[in-house]
Amino acid sequence: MGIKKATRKKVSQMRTAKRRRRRELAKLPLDTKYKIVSHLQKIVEEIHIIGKSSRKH
Amino acid sequence: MRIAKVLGLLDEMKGKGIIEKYAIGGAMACVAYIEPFVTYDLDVFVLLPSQEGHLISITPIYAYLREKGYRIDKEHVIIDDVPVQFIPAYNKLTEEAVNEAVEMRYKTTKMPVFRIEHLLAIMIQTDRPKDRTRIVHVLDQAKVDDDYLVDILRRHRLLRRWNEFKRKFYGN
Repeated sequence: MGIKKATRKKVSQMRTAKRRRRRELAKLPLDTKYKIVSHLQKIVEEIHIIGKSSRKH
Repeated sequence: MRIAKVLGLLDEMKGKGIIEKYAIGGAMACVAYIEPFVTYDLDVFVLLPSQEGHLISITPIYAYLREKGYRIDKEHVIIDDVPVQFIPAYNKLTEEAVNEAVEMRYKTTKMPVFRIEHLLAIMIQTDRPKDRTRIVHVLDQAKVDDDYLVDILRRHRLLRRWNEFKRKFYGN
């Protein structure tokens, strides 16, 4: 049983949109990008904290 | 992330002759060309003034920064919460990357960053799993000068490795 043609088309469109968004992000000014990196670092730290506390229970 | 402070310090060290030239490499340099991703330290590649003997020492850099009150944590110097690693250009490729770095604007400061073609060549030379993943992202998102890249790869004997990589990941 194959995937419906419409589903394939939708997945392809989603991938194209994702790639376009990535390329748009790539064009941001350097200081904005580094601000985003800082935010990402904080999010990763929070994930570690949540993971650590849930292991204790 | 307070990069401006780091850039100011680097220029200060350049002015004092502690380093001859510098450029940003590694993941932070990649971020300049592609979408932002998580990374922690700032890799600063440096050309040092000529020293006696064959061993290259980065002690003067660390001594200068320690004297200024910055904390040293393993191989990093922590400058305003940014872990900075100083890497002396360790081969002809990294030396060339520092010499041919492009100046990018960071707020009001100028920042020398490795060219994307040099970053790709260094990643293919280093060839860690994270480098391979990053190469794929760079090829997907950044504008790469193919002729310039091939010239670098050929001169540094990396063309075969590059072609193998392309075959494996893209089938051509």
